[in-house]
Amino acid sequence: MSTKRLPLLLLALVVLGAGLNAGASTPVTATRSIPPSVAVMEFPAAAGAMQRPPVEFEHERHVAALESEGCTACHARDERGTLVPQLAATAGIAGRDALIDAYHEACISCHERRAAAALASGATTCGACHVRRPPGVPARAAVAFDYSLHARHAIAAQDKCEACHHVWDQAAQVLRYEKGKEEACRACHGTADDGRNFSLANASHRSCVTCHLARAEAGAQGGPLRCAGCHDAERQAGWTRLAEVPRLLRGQPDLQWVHGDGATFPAVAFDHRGHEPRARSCSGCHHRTLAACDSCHTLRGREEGDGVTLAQAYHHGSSPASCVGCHASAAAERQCAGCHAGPGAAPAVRSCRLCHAGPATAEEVLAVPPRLAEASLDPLPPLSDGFPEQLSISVLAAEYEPSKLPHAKIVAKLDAGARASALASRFHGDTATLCAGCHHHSPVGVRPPACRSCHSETADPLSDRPGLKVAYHRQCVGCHIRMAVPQQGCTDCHAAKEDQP
Amino acid sequence: MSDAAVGAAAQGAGARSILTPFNLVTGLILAGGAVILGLRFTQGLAATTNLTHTYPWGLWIGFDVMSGVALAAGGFVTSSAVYLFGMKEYKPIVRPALLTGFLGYFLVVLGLLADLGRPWRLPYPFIKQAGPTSPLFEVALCVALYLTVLFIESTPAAFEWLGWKKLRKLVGSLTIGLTVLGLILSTMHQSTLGAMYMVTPTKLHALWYSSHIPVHFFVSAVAAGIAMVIVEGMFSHRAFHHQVQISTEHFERINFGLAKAGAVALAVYFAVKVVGLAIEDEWALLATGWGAWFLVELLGFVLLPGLMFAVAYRERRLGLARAAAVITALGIMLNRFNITFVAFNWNLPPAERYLPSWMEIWVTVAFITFAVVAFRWIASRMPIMYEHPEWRGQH
Amino acid sequence: MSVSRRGFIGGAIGAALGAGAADAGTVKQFPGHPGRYGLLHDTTLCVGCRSCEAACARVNELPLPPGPLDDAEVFAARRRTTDTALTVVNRYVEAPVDGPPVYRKLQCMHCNEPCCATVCPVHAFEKTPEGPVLYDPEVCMGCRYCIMACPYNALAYEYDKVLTPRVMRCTMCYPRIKDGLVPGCAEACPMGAITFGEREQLIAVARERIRKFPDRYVDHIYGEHEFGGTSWLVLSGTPFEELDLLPGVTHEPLPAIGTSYLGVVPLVITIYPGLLLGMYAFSKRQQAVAKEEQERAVGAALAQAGEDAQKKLATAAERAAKDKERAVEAAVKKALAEHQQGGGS
Repeated sequence: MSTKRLPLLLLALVVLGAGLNAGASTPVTATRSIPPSVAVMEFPAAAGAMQRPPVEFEHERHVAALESEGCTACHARDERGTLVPQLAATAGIAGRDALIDAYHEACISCHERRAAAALASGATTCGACHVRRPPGVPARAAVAFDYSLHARHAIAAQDKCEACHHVWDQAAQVLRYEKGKEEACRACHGTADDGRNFSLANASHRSCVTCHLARAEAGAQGGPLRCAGCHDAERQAGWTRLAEVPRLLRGQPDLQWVHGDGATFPAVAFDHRGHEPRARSCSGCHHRTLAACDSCHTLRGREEGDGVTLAQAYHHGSSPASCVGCHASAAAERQCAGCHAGPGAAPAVRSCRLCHAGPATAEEVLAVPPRLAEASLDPLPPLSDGFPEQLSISVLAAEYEPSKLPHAKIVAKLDAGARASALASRFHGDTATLCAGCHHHSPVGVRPPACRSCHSETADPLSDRPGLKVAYHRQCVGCHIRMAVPQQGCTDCHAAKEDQP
Repeated sequence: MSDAAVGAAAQGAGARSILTPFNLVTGLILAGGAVILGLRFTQGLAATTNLTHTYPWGLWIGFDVMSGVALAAGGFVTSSAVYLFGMKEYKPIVRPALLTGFLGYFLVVLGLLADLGRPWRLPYPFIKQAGPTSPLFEVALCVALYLTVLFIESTPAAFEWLGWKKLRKLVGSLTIGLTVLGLILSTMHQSTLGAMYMVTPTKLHALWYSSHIPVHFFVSAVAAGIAMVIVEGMFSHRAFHHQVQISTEHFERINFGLAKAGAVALAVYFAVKVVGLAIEDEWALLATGWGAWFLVELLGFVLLPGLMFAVAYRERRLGLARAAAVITALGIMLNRFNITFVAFNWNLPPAERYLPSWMEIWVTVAFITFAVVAFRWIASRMPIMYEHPEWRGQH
Repeated sequence: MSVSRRGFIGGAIGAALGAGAADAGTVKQFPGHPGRYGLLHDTTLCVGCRSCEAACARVNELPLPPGPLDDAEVFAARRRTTDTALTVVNRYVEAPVDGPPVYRKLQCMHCNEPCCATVCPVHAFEKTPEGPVLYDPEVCMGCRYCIMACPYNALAYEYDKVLTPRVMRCTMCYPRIKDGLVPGCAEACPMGAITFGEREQLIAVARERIRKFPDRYVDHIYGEHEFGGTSWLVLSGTPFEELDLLPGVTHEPLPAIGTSYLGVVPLVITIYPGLLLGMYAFSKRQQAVAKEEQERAVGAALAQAGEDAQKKLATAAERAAKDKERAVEAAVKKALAEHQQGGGS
């Protein structure tokens, strides 16, 4: 028997170990955050499978180690003196394997040199750089170049637009400045280097870092020099914001008719000046170039507009660059969400008229539209039978006491929110529109219908119309949830009856 | 061994004192088990088990029913080999194997009676209302019939002991029919015990779940039965040495034959499992924690004893064959435990897992003890380990 | 064995084929009783108020859930149905960035083809034409196979009862439905997150909701087809896996997978006897032939031995006779010689 005991014991130990291991069955999926100063050096997927995991290049450590030598230790300057973001040793090299060799040559030789000189140096073995890590998420925040940031740069450049803005002169094959043709960088610089233009990242780094470096070397106050200085979300939140930003002038109209060429729908009087502060920058609406919408988006759709027709461009329900989409996202704000994000909420057909109030014929459209009237709402009507101060809802009171609805108070609160917003004021048009937020699917009149006029006690599954109790709760509690009103519990609105079990 | 000596040895068993160490220990265990069962029937399952709504089947089902049925499969394996396939040299172990089988299945019923919510309703599927769509109905029917078959197959020894010649002749003539019936019933309920889990693809881990679970259960039962015959022979041959009539060499030959059969059975089981992995393309799962546990079961408790059996057969090493048998039996138990409550609801957090309570373990041990005591009582009186002189050479 | 092997096996195969053709493990697709009821659970409307739990306890005369209903601590851990709580509400997504927490109500799903009904050995479950799956505690013997088999882990057992333990689960308030009322949870829900009605109509309602608010819902009605379909249909704004609702492994009902194997039983019963008796007869014949050969060999050996013995005996007798003759001759010669010597004087 003794010879069998030992293998059995070992077996038992193995079994126990594996069994304990089996319990830990759920894989750890916490994602690793990659800081902004770390660049993941990955080839595009089309380059084929790699033998080793990508290197996560820690730029900060290299800057710190090579501080005395400066940026030119690794980066070259081009003929114009621009600091090239690419590693100088890999300039002009194309092809995957050649690039790999160049990087290896540059990095490893420098590391070896420094190690020989007893300086802080990096890895010289494969696995020390190509470390296998769980998948990470880059924490690099894109720089939002909004009006405030642009204004600060304009001040620093003493309003010399040519410091940053340029156009490509095809005939002369040079970059030069042309007044009146300033665009956002994105208008020409896309997501990747495409032979003609640098990618946005490449162009930005060339332009921004070079200038910041120059100003730093000249002792003037300049922008960040490190990755995290621009791309760290927390630091971005701490940037100085200018309260007053002068209007950027680029020949845009103050007020104009928006009208599709060949369309017969009444034109829209568009207050361009009034809309400018609504976005963070011009690119909020002019998402490709600063040209007018109809230069790319035509009635039938064009390649330049990615096939999006003019009507879609103006009316798409969720695109931030479209009129209706931007208005819809404004209506999803907390103070509007009670009515606008609830079930049964949909723009009334007559709201088209609020915008399309202009002439429909081409001749009349030529004239400059009249100044739009200030959007204002009439004051709330006085309390009456049709507009009570308080309502006691007792129709279904069983477990709970009748609910005392502070009708006027609620309306006043919602009204104040609408009045404070120019968008809401214009679109509501009259105060009665507010009533339709709760008194939905019915014509708004002097005396809107009570809930029980349309909601019977039982639900109607065919039309999906809820019963009265559900209608009350879905409307009220739903709105409280959407508007983060604290009263969301049962007894917050109706006290429990004393004699209930 | 002369006839007279056999008779004397059989009778001598009753003349010893009742307070032997064996009796004391088993008595304690059985008494404790009785107390706990008393608790179970007065306080309910909640007071005596760790069963939960998520793990409705625990040790009493996992061991007593699932493992018990598999380990008691030696009965049909040996009786089929001897009576249907003509392997006469295994005749000496048929009766011990059948007795082990009968006591094993009796244990299954005891375990069920302890575990069912209302055990007095055990006959309901047959007398009150049948649920013939249920695999469990088929298992119940087959187990009930097979228990009867095993009982009848165990009566020849009793009748010989009692000297009831006419009845002994009658049951002797039923041997072939009963063996055929036993093999049919065993095939069905061994595999249907596995089929009970076919309805749980979302709850049983993919490495143990297969659309061929019934085949897995049947083949592993054959292996388990063979292993248990070797294990049981290991103990009973020594305990009843004075009764045994066959030579040591014959006994060893039997064991090596069983070892060969065990090697084949385990090889088939291993192949079926590997083919199952390939069909479902589950190789990637082997790299997980559960995969490691599965490999422990498959490699350590199926492949290893299979190889051990083969080596033992070739090198004529009895000790190795016995070790392989023990590992095989443990492996089948492990497999049944895995399916019943380890890899079952595997995706729930570890805090909700089931572990048997000490009372469940005690009752299970008590049931096994009862079977051992019963075996000992019967074998020391009735012609199980030897042939009755008047019935030598007959069925 | 006196039974003719050929006839027996032929008959067995014929019976097996017949049995196989009738029901070889395939389940005929039953579309369900027309007009059966169902419930639609819209998790985008559920606010976790647990009025359904309280109403269910009241209707089924079970203890109310412990603690105040609005105690948010209850949602810290995921709960499951128990023998005293036939339905529970769990919070699955605590506080997503752009919305309120997501809750879901758990209970028996009243499947179209219930696993519990299929696996019960005493047929204690019945799928009624009205939709609910009913449980009969009068025949249940407490084997708990139903609890083991339910893919939604919806059943519970009264482990602490000794004489009358029952399987506890949502009954879809069958008595109330028969009286024309609505199940307790559906009536109690203030937000209308539970809608009771005919299952086919509810599917149409659910589709319409998805169509009207495509941004609000995941485009899928859970329970329409999963595992053959359930009476409880679920709509959600978050992926169903996050609500612990597993995608159906198949649209085929689980019982079809679970009982397909039982089709083998008739085959085993019919084929095995012939096969095994055949093997028995074969082995017996082998033994009989071996015995015969042995007897013949023994007989031949014996006969040969007998012949040899006879020959030996004959040669020995001959030699003995010859010896005797020689001895007699020698004695006669000797006597004659002596006589001649004595007679000459």
